[in-house]
Amino acid sequence: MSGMVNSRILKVAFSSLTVVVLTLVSLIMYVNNIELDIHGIVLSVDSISLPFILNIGIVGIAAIISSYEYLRLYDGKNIKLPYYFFLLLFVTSMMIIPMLRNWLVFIFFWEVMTLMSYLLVIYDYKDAKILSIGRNYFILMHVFSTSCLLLLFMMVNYFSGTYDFTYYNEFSTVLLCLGLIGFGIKAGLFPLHFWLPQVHPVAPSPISALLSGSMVKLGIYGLARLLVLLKAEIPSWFFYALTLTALINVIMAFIMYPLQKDIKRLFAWSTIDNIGWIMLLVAILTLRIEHAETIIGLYVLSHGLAKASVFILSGGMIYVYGTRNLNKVKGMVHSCKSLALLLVAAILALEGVPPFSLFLCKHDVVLNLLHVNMLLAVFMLVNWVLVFIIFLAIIHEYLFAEGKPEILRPLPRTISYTALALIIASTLAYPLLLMLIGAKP
Amino acid sequence: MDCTVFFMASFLAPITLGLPAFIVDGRKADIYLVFNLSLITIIYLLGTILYFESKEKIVHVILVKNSILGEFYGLIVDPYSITVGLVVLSCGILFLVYSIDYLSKDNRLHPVRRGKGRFYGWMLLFMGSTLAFLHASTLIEALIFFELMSLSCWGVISYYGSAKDIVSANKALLYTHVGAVLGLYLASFLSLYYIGDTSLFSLSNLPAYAKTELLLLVMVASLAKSAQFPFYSWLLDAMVAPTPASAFLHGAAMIEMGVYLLGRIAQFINATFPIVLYVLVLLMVITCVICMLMYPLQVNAKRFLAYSTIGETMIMYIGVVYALAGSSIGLKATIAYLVSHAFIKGLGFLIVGVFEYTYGTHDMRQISNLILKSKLLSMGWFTSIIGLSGAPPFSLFFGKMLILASVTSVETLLYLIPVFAMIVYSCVFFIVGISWVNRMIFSECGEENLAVVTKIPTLMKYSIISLIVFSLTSHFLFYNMISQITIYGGLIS
Repeated sequence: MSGMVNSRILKVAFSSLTVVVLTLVSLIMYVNNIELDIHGIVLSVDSISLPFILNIGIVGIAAIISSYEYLRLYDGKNIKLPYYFFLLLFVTSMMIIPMLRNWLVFIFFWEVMTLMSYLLVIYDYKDAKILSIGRNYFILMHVFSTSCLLLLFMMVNYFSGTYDFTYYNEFSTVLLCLGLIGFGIKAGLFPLHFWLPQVHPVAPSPISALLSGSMVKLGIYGLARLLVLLKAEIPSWFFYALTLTALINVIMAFIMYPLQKDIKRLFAWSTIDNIGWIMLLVAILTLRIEHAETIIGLYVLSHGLAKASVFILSGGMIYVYGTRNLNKVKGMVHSCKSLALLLVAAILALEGVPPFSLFLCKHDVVLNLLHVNMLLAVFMLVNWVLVFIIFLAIIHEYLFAEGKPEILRPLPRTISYTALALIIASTLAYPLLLMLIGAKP
Repeated sequence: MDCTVFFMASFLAPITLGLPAFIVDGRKADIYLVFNLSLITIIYLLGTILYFESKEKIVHVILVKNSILGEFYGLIVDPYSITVGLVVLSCGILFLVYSIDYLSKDNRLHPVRRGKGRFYGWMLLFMGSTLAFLHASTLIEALIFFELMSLSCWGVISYYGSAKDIVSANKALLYTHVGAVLGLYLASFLSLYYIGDTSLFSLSNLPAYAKTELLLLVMVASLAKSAQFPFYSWLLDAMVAPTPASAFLHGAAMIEMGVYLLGRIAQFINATFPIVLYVLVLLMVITCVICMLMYPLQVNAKRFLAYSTIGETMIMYIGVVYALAGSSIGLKATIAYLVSHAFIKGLGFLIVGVFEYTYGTHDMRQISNLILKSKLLSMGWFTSIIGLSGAPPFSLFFGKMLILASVTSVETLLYLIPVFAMIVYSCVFFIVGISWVNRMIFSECGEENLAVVTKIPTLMKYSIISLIVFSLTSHFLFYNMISQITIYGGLIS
């Protein structure tokens, strides 16, 4: 038994060390403007990719460390899948994606990422329901995301003669559609958002943190990168389509919030909500408004960290109470105070309450929208406040209610500390990242 | 020393030295096989090394030449033939080594007590004639080894000797032979009639209308050989062959040689062909639709893989189509696809072979919860199914990307149809495949088979491990050689 635990510690140490090194290397590459060329595969980090890499690196480390005790939930089940191997491959491939400057290699790592996420989602494969949800997720990704992206890159290669990133002057409507579907499904954009609330509850919680905090954001990255490379005029219908789908995302999430009893489903809808916010930023990007990509980066980093902390804490709740159902943990604050308070802090961070960074980001979004459309800006502002009220009500109805749910196991330190670290990081993300991007000559 | 001598020896050795294998049996046959295999490997590798050291792009020798038939017998060594040759060789070795343990009395589906030598003999003949076909320099020579391949294919399909096996074997021989008669015989005749020579190098001298006729004729032979639409049913019956032989004829030899032949002609004929394109694209779409309709109905693993072979070969033809339409990387794409497909498909068949050996069935419904029983088997099956649908990190993905990169025109729909067919086809394969993967590897819901997995024999285990490694790395291993493949056109003589 002790040997098994030791080997698990080694795996955790090795994988988190790898991710730390990768994060540091990418930081150094960014600050010193280094471009690596490995057998023709060019890796470089610019101000668009940096927030994504930092986000994935930090959330990745948190997920790896918090898995250490969370995996005890599966101890008796005799599961044969190598969790840390898949996790490390998943995080590494995600970190490499924003560094790439070639679509062929991009789709290679993109697919490795999808494959690994599938294998991690079905980690608890003894449950037939989980297997079928995982299968549906993988099929959805392969049919919509992969096929569309393959066609997109084929066209790009045909027009420009190379898979390398170059500026595209001629670009047709078909290509924008393909990009919108291929990247949009990964991001959870309406009408292809429905996989999120299904997949998140069944995946192990650290994996949900990675899926929601990092992987979903790569869809945004792909779309933003494509739009930045596009030098031709972007048709106005694209702006309207993006705004409309983003708004539908936000409104649907708003309607669905009060109906959720499953904590992970609740936060999955919150991801859909926030993707709506970021997609509004991407829509602003198509109007060539200055600094839009910087705000996207800031939003992605702040939101990714906060979202990862709530998912890791949901994992803590599953670990402590053995349930995802919020109704069964009414009055959590009376039985496991630290978990309840951390959850409150994380939810506040997620909903953009000052002093957390997401406040500044949402503020930026609303400010930028004011330049585009007054009504839209006011709508988002009202929505922001209303969603905050809903979450306040959720906190009061469940966490601070009467009652004292029974504790099965004490809250592990790996979970509480990583969540705390993520919340703190989410507070500091905005000023630090702004300094880092601003410091670049 | 000239490298062609080695290439000659590499296929003469299995064809001649393979014959005594028919009369030995048991342990002796195994030893004789290993001796033969090592001999071929050494000779072929020596030839390859000499070829690359000579720095010549294409080595061509004429061995027999007369005034009636022109160049009758010659040898071509170039990156195109060497790449496929190395694949045939490595797959052949792995599958034959696997079959040493597979053909035993412990095999639950097909216990074999005697007659191992006969199998090795046919397989060596198969390998030898395939290697010879690859390096053939004239249509007549290609025809001879084409027929020899069909014959040895007949031998391995009918190996178990039941009435059904013999019927299937006859059918396979009949289809490919009819293809050869309609295609290659007539093509050779045509070529002789117009220019008095059947050498591949002289094809570019044909008049334009004869080129189209020749290509259409060769296409018939190709399609029959690689079991495409009008001629596909023989391949489904051919699954009665011992599984290592199925792996060889699906993955490396028989089926792929059809694609190889058409690609070879495309390399030398120096013209583009609108009519041929229409015909090929139409047949491709029909094949694709058949496969997509049949996939969900399959429960027999070998039949499932057989349909997949038909579909994947269709994808290989896409590269040839683009090459015929003037793309410079169409052939590279085809060969890249062929190389990766050979290893991944071989892996799939060898895994099915283990199912037969240990469970005594290839009915996929009877297999479940593999991951609990054997990690290697589940890894192999996962690799082959996900790999065949063209998802990274498995090599087939690169072949697919190359085919996408070789599209010559996106303005006309005709050139886009094959690509759409490929993407839709692989999505359907993926959906069906992942469902089977879920059910066979992870789920406990299948009809639990009586068997406790007996241990997988060592040689079978190691061939599977090496195939898993190959299916991850084959594109990188062969990358250099594939990138040297070019279309010769009429440039050289």
